[in-house]
Amino acid sequence: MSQDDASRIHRLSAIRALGDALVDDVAGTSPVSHLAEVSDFPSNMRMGPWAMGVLGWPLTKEHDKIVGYAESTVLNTIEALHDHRDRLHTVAGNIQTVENRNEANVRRL
Amino acid sequence: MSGGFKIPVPGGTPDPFQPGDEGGDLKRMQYSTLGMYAFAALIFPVFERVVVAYGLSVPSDPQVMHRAADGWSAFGDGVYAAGTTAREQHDSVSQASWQAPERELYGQRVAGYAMESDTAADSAHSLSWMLRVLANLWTLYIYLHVGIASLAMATLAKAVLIGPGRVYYTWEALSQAMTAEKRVIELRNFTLRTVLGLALKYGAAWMTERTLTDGLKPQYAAGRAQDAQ
Repeated sequence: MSQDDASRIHRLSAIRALGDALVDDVAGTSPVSHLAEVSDFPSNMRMGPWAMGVLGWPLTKEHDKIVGYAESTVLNTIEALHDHRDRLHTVAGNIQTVENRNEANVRRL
Repeated sequence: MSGGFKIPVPGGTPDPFQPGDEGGDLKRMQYSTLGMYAFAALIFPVFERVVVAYGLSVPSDPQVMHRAADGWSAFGDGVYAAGTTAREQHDSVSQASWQAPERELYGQRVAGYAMESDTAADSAHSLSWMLRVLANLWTLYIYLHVGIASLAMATLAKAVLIGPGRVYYTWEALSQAMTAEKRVIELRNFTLRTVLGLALKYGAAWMTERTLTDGLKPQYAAGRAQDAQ
């Protein structure tokens, strides 16, 4: 396979650190805490149906809908970033397992 | 029935007129009813357009819109920062630490996430800009109404000074000078203005929904193909 030709360097701590940096504030503000800060909209973000007058109702209705969309999108994105971190840890774990097996094989030979 | 209708006789037993009645005059309730009828028949038709226009555009605090705009621009900044930080974190892992096909896969995923964040941040910023424009227009509208009210007060003061009769007859002469054609044209213009305004607002709502939610709307089943890998 062509993938075997590619050079493979895995420093597991770096991969795990990359995953943790997505979620925790170890090195600066993490993407998740950026999003968490944003996800709790102020209570006056939803303007209410009549904030722009009776004729402005379509606008305010759309605006409040967009606020709802944005809220759920941000929450989904936070979940997705947590998943991404978990996948990075899984990758690191898999590599660890494979290396252990390789070492065991080499010792057996 | 014995307690049926009786012709009210002043001073009879029982006296049909109570102490507050002032000798059989109309009661206070009836005066207010008369006042309501007079308003409906005489005063409201004159001011109908003003009253309806005011009722349809109940002025609100433009600060509400400014606050929402502040919220949107903060949202855009946060989302942009999140995307940029994720990309920087991925790029900051040196090639000496991790070099494998998986890295490319994750790099693509992070780049896609950062791009979507940029789109969402742009949408939030344009939404914020639009709300600010609307809020400032609203402020102008309020000042316009203040000006119109000042003119009305000036007319009222004139009526007080030169006598309401003359103002009334001037207004009557003006309204009689207006031909039926002119009235029809005015009505048509009013209708057109209302309909066009409504169409404009619905169009703006459609446009908002269509273009400004780019990246803010949840995309169902997005990334399914990637997850299957």
